[in-house]
Amino acid sequence: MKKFLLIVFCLISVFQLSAVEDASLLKSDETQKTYERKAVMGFGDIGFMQDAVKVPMRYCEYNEKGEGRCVPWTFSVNYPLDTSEKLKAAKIFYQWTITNRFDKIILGDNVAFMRTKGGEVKIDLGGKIPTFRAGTSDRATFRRHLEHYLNSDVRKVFGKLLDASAEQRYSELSEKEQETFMVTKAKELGLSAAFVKNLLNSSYVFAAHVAPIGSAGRVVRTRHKSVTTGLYYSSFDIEIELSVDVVFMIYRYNYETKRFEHYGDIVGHSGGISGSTDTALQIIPTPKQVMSVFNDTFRTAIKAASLNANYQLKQDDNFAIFMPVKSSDGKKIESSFGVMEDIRVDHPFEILETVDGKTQRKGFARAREVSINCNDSAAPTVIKVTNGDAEEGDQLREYPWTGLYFNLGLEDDMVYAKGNRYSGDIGMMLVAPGLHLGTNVDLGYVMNSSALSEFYLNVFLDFNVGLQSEYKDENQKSIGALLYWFGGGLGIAKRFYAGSAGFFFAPAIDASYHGTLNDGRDFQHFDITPQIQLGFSATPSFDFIIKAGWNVGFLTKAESNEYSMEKVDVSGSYSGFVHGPYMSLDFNFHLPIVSAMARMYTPSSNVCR
Amino acid sequence: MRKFLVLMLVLALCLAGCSNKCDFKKQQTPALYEATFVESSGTGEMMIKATGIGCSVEEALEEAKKTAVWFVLEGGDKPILKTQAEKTRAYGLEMQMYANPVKYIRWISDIKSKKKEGGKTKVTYLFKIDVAMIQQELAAAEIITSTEDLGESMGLPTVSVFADKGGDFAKTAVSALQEYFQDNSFEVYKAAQGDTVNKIVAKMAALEGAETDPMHDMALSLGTDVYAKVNYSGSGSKASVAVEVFETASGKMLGTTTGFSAERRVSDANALVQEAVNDAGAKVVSQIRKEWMEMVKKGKPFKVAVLSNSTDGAAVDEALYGALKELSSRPIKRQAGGKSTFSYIVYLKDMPNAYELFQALKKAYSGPGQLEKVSDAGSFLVIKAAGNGEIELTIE
Repeated sequence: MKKFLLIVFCLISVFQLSAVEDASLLKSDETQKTYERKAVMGFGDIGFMQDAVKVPMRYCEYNEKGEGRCVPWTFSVNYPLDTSEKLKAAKIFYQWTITNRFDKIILGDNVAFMRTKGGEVKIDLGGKIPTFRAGTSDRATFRRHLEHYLNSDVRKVFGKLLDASAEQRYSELSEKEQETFMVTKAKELGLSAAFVKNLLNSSYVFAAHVAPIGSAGRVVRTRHKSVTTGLYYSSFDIEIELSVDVVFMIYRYNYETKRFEHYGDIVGHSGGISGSTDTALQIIPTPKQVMSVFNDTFRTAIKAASLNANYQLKQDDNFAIFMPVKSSDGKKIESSFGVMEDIRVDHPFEILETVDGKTQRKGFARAREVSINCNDSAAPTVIKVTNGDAEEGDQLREYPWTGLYFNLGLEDDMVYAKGNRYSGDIGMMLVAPGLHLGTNVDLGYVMNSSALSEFYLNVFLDFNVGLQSEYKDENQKSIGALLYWFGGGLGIAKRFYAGSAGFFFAPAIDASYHGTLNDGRDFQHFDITPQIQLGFSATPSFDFIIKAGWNVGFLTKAESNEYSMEKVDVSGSYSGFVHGPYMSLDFNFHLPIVSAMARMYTPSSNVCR
Repeated sequence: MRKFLVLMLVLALCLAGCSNKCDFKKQQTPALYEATFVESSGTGEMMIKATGIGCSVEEALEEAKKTAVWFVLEGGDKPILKTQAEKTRAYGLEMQMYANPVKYIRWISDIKSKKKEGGKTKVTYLFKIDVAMIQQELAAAEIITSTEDLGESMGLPTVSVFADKGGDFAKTAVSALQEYFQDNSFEVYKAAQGDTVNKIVAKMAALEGAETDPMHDMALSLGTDVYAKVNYSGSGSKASVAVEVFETASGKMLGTTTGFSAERRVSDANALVQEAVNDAGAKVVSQIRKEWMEMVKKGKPFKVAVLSNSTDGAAVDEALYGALKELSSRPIKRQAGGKSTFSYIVYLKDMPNAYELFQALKKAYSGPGQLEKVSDAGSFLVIKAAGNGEIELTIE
């Protein structure tokens, strides 16, 4: 009973305490708005439109060369969504969408979990509030069910207490204050209609409903040739693709109508998530192994949808972090907000100021050292200005961001292989202008690690169309075949901002593998490309980069039909060592949907454990 | 070449025109007069919310400091410089204060607002201003009359403070207000525990009517010129205190105000009551001084109670009324008149206390018998006069 009263007290407290923010003369105005910790209520059970996910399957067979094909199977697999999996999904949602910056009261099956900055308390509700059963239904039915539950079962207990406490606050004012002070000094001391609204409308209820889950699956059988025995054997792999949309319904208690009212919906998109068995199986996978892949993929999809919902939630001023700039040399700002407000390394902020009544952006800043404010005596978060400048009294607003970019680059990727067929053989130049596509992810942000601050991991695919240019002999130069290149690789870059105009330079290194797609040529080479990048970050959502580097690698394959009807190995004609200039102009566009990259995200408050 | 020069000139002019250059001329006086009284944070300290303007935050902050000092000097409803004459005399010193406002600032808050308007930066801060220091400097320069001087020349009123209702915080509220009056050089008379209204006052009160205020009667008994009633209310996180001040002799209200504490969680609610009293105290002291100065200029009120008997009563009344009329140019208010007991409210200039009034009356009196003083306390004089027979103190 004590714990139940505690949860009620906490709920009421948070519903009320954060309300005086713009009330009195002692307080700051909107230009100096500061985030105040909010409390939200949620439900341990989230709604689904289906009890099982029907996955249409395909069967694929590949030979040892990777050649093969897929055919649709005539049957689908039903993956049941059991209660424990739904509860795990709810937990992921509360971790990634309703992050640490909120105190959370999660109503479960006759228990409640109260998660505050200080930790988590489990409260036995002792039947005071009936359990919310999300069930399986369409969105409209779920919404009706939710609203009925809020305005009957929850309202019955909490509403009365909240109303009574609101009345109590007024009754605490003497008659004289009500008559004279309220009339003459209400504005001065903030007891206005706005005050009452702020006082009483500062908490939210969240509920989640999962829309129909898009899915596809493959069983892949790959044939291999044993290196030792020379015999053929097969391995099996399971691949599941899911896409999940989660509708987060937000409600708020209206003290005038005395009802929980709809505040808004956010639809979190997971994007396409694929999952597979960690290692290839030697035998046809068991149902348990299949289920394990499905569950893992499903959790990743829920996490990705929750991260997207969190991104959208931050677009709402009621849920975003605001803070005034207390003091600044124009380049560095300190803040007490830290991991407990879900501030992460490289977390971007807008620098705002009010000009002629309108809020204008004057630059951007990023958190470099994040306060580990698990307790009160923590070093402050250090935020550095990357674009523009900041002065005392400016306002910082967090910039909704996932740390992930879609990367598009126009490049010229050249390598030169020295010839060794005769004395003075100049060799072969493979010129390959083209483009690359990929993703760029800020490792510091996603892993919340200051050691990885501004380290960008780039995963890319290259498509190039180029020429083979070489000397046949001392006198005859040949412009060889038009080559079609396909490749991909990984890169890592560490950005250093130069000043605060948004410019940065980054030493970087890529590792890539490229091969031709031509029938008569088969050149393949592996390269390491050390490079220098010069870039400009216009906003945290967009930047462009000029890259210049040098490819250093080796030919792994060189086959050509230049000298015979069939492709023959010509690798002996070249030294094997390849090198050449690399240039690129890249554009990065922020991606709010993180898809499979969701796996990389680490909770910011992990450092408190 | 010429074309190139013309082009460069046009470009330079365009750049100059397009650039948003801040044009702000610093003056001795504040550039803005936007300020609000927030609270009295102590007996000689006020918290002011003031706004300044400039080309940068630093410049605007300097202006806001000047605005805060200006507010204490001339702004709001209780400025130190009340008359045009005082403002004129203070001009030079005021400019010195604006030149070095930091001298009077005890605390500056974080920035409370920052806006850009017309290319200039406007900032708002809270300031705690040492009002006592400003008053002292103005008094030393003989621009205003210091509290002590005021006391010497006109006699500051003596004050008693009572709680309107009992309760846990009544004592705190009364003590805090007494302290406030003392810090402002008022002479505070404190009713000791068990003090009762003296017999004559009680009888006079009964004679004047049933609806008398016991605190008024107690103030008369104590002989204070002024009395204050303090009433508090509040919750665990906030307190408010209402103060009403009355002139004792006439019962006229001199001022009323309400003070509030900020809303905050404290371990002892007495702190909130003290804070609310501080807020009310500054306002009410200013009101008393203003009213008292006006009152002394026009004539200080005295309550004169006369005891006689039914035989000589009418003649004594007539003679005393005549004597009082000779002393005062203002109308005399008869409060209660019976056959043997009566009282008056009379407004007299240059009459420091009730004893001197008795002496003046004694000289001017031409009625039956001689005037004898029964008691004098503050502005309350009780005398008796009768030709023959015993004095009767009866309620008729």
